[in-house]
Amino acid sequence: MEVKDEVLLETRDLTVNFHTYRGEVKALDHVQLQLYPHEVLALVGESGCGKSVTALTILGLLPQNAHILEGQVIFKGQDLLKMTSEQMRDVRAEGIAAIFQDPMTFLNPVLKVGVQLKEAFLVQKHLWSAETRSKSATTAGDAEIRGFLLEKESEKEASRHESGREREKIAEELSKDILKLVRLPDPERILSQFPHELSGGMRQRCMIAMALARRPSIIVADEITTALDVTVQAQILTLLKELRDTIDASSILITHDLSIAAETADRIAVMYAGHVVEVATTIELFRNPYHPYTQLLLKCIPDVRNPVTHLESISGSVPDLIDPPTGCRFHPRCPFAMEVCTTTKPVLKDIGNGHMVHCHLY
Amino acid sequence: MTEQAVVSDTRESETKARIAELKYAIYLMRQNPLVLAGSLLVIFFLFLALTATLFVSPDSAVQLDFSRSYCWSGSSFSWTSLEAVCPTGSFLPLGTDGYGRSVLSMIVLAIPLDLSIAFIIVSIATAFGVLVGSVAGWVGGKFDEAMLRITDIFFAFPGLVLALVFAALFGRTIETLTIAVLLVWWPTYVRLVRGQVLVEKEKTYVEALRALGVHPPRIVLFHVIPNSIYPIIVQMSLDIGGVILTFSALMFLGFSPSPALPELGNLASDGIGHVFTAPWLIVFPGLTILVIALAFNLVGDGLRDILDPRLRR
Amino acid sequence: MPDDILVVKDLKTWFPIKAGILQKTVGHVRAVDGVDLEVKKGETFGLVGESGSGKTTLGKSILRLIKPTSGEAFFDGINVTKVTKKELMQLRRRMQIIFQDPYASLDPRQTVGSTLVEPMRLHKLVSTKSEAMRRAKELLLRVGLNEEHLFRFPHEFSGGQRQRIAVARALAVDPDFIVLDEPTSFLDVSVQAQVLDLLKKLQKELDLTYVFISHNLSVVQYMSDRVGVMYLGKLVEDAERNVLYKYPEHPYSYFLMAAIPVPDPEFKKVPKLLTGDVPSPVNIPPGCRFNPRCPYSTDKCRSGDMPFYPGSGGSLHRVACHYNVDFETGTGFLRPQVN
Repeated sequence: MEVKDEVLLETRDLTVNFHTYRGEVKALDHVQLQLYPHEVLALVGESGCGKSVTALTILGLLPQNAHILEGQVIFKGQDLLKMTSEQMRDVRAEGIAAIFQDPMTFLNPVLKVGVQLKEAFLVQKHLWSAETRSKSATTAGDAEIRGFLLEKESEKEASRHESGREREKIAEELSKDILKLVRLPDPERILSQFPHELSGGMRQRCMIAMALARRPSIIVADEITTALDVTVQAQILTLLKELRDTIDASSILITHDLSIAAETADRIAVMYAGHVVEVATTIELFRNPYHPYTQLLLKCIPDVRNPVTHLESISGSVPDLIDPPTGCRFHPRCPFAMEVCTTTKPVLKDIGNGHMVHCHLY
Repeated sequence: MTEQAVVSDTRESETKARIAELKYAIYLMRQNPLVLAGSLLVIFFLFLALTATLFVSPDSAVQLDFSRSYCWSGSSFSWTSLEAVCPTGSFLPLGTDGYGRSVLSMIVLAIPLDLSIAFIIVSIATAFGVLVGSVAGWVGGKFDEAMLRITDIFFAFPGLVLALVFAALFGRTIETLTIAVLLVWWPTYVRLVRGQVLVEKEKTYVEALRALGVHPPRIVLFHVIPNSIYPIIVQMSLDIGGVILTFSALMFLGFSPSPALPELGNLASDGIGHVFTAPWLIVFPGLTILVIALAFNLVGDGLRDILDPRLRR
Repeated sequence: MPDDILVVKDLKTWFPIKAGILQKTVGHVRAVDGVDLEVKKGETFGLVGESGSGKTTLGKSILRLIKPTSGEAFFDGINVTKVTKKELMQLRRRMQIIFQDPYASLDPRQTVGSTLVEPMRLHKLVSTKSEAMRRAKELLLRVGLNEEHLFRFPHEFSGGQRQRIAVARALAVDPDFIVLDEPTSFLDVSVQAQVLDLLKKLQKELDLTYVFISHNLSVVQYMSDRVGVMYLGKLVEDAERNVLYKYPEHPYSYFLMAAIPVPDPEFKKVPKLLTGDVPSPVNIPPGCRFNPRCPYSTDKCRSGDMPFYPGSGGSLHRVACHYNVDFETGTGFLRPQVN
């Protein structure tokens, strides 16, 4: 990865605190991430590491008691953090889509799936305005769907004012197509069902469909397979990989499971206690983990192919972010901790090949 | 470690836990000034209820002076043109009632009466509710069904009507009136406790206790009920206001045991017949009822925010 | 077998589905639908399956936390399903359970000390308060916590610590047998490693027998001596751990193993995906339960009973499949008939 493609999304020095009655939770501390086009970036870490907070910050969905102390989120040349909530809504509608862990709480239980999916299309202003030549239909999957969408685009260009009903019909057709894209059989029937009538795997695919409906450049997927059974999880991960190849979008895959990242991601960023500790391509990270936390984490995971009699663990526990350790936040648990680790924060070191570490050892 | 050391350690940790709870409560209070106001008012009224007799002698309830009935001091402003003016030299900031008694003194005397009746009613309703509701919720079955139907029947009647009917049937002493209002309130607690027990019953820690072999009565008494107590406390504080309203309403409608009884509703009842000549007689007792009910309502809401574990942190 | 501490015979746990105004029973959720198994003293029997497999219900039915509908479970020779309430109380001392959710399995209003002392007192294992506190302290140290934790409340602890408290509580009554229902699925990976190692250590020290229930196949492999795979209320395969993980013979087991994500990006996984979703135990298909999703099913699979056939991995290996399938090629042959 010597050639630096243009960065699609970048967070610089992202620092976020939460106000709670017990004090300030220093959730993110100068988080630096880059997302390139056509890739799946996995954000891996355990609870409290800040991966979900990072996602929410990018999406502009932080709760009220969050304060962004410093940092920028650059997308399409603009700093998302400086946008108003209306502008962010537009970004979420058409630029960055999100899929969350529990589709049951994310989907409106009293609306049919079809209604919700169509809404994803109907809110996209650019689809309906004859002036904007929306993103070309190459963002769709199969050639047939591509062709179909091209057809529809030109139709729309022809007629400036769509009536509500016509829009509905077009949205319905687009919805069926997108369900096919996520490999859901019998799209017609699914559109007429309620979320609780579908199984967990199907609901998750609907969520993915709703995200794709926006033709986003970026998909943020936060623990999307945690609530699923392992066979269904395998299906969803395979789907994600397929989509990466056919759709012109990058994904940020947030997970606590390094094995999932190994299977699905091109690059992995490991986070700990609000810090990014290591970033590398997937193969490189597993072959040569540099940061002590990454090394220990890899040893904790039971590997089906090599059953062991004793699992390594990391001594101590995740720090309380109201009063995090000084210097490097991992130093209390690090077997290689040195004097400097307790006082100064480590600086980013570039090892080459896009592999970066935050550690005083290097 | 000695027994004493063990015990004192427990106290120390418990104290720490309590302090943390207090800090959280104060934090919430600062977030919501109305709740703070309500709490201060409640404290004020409770204080007044306990010390009323220090300020106003109970004898003033029976010292009737018809020479100055329905009069207003007239110093600050005048209500209507029809009012009588009180004789000079007397400290009557809120005017007098039909018996010539200071309205202010009567209100001060009425507060302990109203508040204590309200507390008694709410306590008995809660105790009964906990007893019956927990059995209904835990055991279920026919007993639960029966309880549901019985409480349904009670709910079907508008509260005041039920109390009125009872009072009409059984006479008008403070005791019967208390029971009358109690009849209106008890079903709420049975349902509330039953609902809480039903919810807690399904929780994992209850299953764990069963797995350890703990007997159901012990589980309900020592585990389920203590965990269900928060919504009950909230309901209790909200109901104090409601009970006072109901009780006063009964009095207001003429069911008072004695026309001279210093009770807020009773005082207001006297005033209704003299709205144009002595409006202060209905305004001030009425306002007092309003403020007490409001104060307890605000506190109840605040308690709900503090105590509801789902809304926490 | 003489050293079996647990014997389960044709255990069924059905939940009635009520509908209509009169709440008539219109059907049953057949959560556990006829399970036979034996567990030897001192071993860990792993139970895997996805949602709807019935593994959790089976675990709780063995303990009679959920009342089984039919069938029997024998613990150390005693018929758990048929004992009186009083005898059950004594059994509860010997058979314990650790639950999945550490945030819900402790009474939030009880201190840790009180949580540990209560069962001790109940089963009359201690006679004075100081003895109880001393024992509680020992238990905490044994699970890797401190004396001062005795006086704290559950919400002051992390998930991993709460699970340790739950383990201490289970040990408080000095049990022989523990059902572990997904004990680490809510925990971080690094914490999981600590808790699993603790469980292994305790098993050795106290000669415990475990039934370890989980949907996480890697964890089950790490913990178990023998493993059983459940699907829609029945065991479809059960064998010694290495046999099952290396040479699964039931198609469902095979797909399950194939679906496990491996922490190695360079590992070329055979793309074997199971189609469709995990079914619910309300409408159970006739014949082999797995047949609607099985790519190898034949007419024989769609009707009739499914017995256990012996597998090729030793005397303890049994498979509930009519065919012996070569998963690489997709061919197979009919297994010889069993009585």
